[in-house]
Amino acid sequence: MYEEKIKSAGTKIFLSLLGLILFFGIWELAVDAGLVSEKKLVAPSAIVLTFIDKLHNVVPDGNTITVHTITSLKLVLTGFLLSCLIGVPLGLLMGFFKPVNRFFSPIFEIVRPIPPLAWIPIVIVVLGIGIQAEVFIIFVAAFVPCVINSYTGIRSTSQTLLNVAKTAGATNAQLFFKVGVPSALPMVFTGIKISFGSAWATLVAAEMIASTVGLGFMIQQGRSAVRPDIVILGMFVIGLIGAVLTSLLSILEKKALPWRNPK
Amino acid sequence: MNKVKKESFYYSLSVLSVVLLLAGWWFASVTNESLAGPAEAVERFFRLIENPVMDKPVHVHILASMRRILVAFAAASVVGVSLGVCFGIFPVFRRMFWPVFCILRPIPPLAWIPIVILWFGVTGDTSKNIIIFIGIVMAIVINTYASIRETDPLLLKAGKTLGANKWQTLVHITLPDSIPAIFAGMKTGLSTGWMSVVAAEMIAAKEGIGFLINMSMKTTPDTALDFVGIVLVALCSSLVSFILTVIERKLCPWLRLDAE
Amino acid sequence: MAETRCRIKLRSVSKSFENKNGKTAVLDDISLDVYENEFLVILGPGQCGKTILLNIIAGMEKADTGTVTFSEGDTGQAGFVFQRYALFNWKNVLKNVELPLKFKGIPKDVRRDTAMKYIEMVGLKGFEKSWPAQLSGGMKQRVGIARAYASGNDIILMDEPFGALDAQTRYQMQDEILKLRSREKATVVFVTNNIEEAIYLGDRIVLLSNKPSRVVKEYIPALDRPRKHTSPEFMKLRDEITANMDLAL
Repeated sequence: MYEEKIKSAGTKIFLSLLGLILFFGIWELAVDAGLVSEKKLVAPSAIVLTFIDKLHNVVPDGNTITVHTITSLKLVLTGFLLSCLIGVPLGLLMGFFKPVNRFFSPIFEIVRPIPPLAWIPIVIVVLGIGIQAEVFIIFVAAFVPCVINSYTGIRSTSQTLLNVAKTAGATNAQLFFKVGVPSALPMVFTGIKISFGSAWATLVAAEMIASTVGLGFMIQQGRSAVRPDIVILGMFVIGLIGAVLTSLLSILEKKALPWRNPK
Repeated sequence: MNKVKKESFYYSLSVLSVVLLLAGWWFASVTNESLAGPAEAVERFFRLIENPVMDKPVHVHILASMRRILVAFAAASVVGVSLGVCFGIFPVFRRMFWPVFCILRPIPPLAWIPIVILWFGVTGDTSKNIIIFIGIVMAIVINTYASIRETDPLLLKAGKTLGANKWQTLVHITLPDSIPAIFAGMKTGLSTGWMSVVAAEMIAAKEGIGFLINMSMKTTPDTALDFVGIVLVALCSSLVSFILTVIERKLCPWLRLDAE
Repeated sequence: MAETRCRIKLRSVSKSFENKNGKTAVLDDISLDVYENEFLVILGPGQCGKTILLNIIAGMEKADTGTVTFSEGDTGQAGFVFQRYALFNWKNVLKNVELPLKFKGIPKDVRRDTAMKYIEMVGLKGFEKSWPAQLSGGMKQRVGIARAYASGNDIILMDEPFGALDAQTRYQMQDEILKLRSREKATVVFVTNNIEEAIYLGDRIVLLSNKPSRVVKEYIPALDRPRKHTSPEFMKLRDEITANMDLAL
């Protein structure tokens, strides 16, 4: 009933382009025609110019956009990789071995509903303002999805497969590594992707609150200096990088799990 | 007998971990002057009730946060489901506007904070509501759209043989089939929503739980207040999730039956 | 034999599908008639395209060539019973059976009475408030059948309706269908791959070949009802049909 009624590929492409043109067109016109104050919105064409400018201009936030981007990337990757390295094995172990689950579950359930940003004041007191605090917050944000998805993934290991391996004489360790872990991998990858999204989003906010460099800081400064062009530029760069890195993770997933049909 | 022993062993593991956690906290607070311990956090909560922050008693802060998230959630649900449905059943609409949605989607909700504040100012609830709204609506649109696309074709066929027109198919078949996915999207959206509440209130508010957390950072670090804030957030978000789950159960009695 | 009206005429219906390996012809020049009030069984080996043929009659798919014509004054709408029941899990039994009437805009009380009539006819009285998830396979299919009959069409198409049931329930349901037939007049087109089921139920059997399907032969079991699987005439007919059926490997 909801099958494509649009038959020709040409019409499909036309419609997609039309939507984009409408979006950017109305935006551009609204600003150029003076319908919206320059203090609030800047035309897409101007944003491109801002981008070029920010490549070497450190006004008003103290750094070029390249420096901001690299700083943000370094931070997010550090926190993200740490959380994967700790969170995935933890989730897998929790899902497979009941004592591990019983021990870590309470702590995990307590930490889970707390937005990572809420920890910032405490983290600053303990670790001081600076990179360690930010990395820790990102770590906390990315940690939860890794654990949950690894846990769910390994819990859904087919009991039949486990029984087959048991009758072939597998030890617990072998069951874990040879049956449980591989069958959990699809969900682990889903968790990693969600985890990255969470890490990236948290980074931006953490930088707004407690940093002096980075893309999040840049857009916050843009707001203070009433430079909507910088704010919007920053938003697009943030979105773009997030999308690109998530796609990279998907490509990695396809390589690692060629037998899976990712949705 | 063995089973009872095992269960009590597991139970003691859980208790042990909580005890260790509390002990670790207490130890950390003793070694670090500025860090509040469990006792101080509790005391701070009671002090908070007596001694309002910014002239507002604690329940005002709680209500402020709850109010914002509930308003944003209601709006996001209506808009999100409608958009998801439109994407799902109108191919022209989808072709035209999905690319625009895909450009906006990767921008983290929290990254909208500066521009929304620039547009709507710091005072009043509007800017916070919008920020929370953005975070929740994305998850709902995505889940709704995906679920509508994946409506069991067998059920759609059956509807056709029973003489359903497009609107009847949507109301009686497609939407009910998608309800679990829509609720899942709502729950995901809510957790993003709470993040947005805290962030927005930390950055640009004069009341609310996030504001309390922010205060704990500004004045000589009042980590006890931060702990109080954290507990409040956890409780409130659990409450809202719980209510949502109850609503889902009441709305969909058929989902909890044991399958055949 | 009295002159019976022909309800559906299929003439030279053909259909093929495109896939990676090119075109696969599924139906090849099928012509047959369906007469008023008969229980017509379309029998064929698995995957031979009988479901697609039924879908074409129901209007859910289009034939590449050929025509499907209904008798004069006919809406061309038919009730449909699916192998996998296709019940709506969020509606109870009563609401499921009422649904076609609801779509037609029939008022509540009339709807309810009609639906209850069919629910009783399929032996599910007392279960009208149950959810589909609470029912066994056989019961679910009864709901499916009641729903198809309740739609008010007197042509009912059934696509291997008992294929998902265990053997015991299957025999039960076959008897139920015959009981239903005696209480409610309808033209039934019943698709199956089970030879004995075909002989047990059918007034007339049309045998299809393997892909691309052609009409191989037509049988009119000259057996009195109630038929017995073990009677010599039954077994003779079964052997004859078996010999003629291409068995796909």
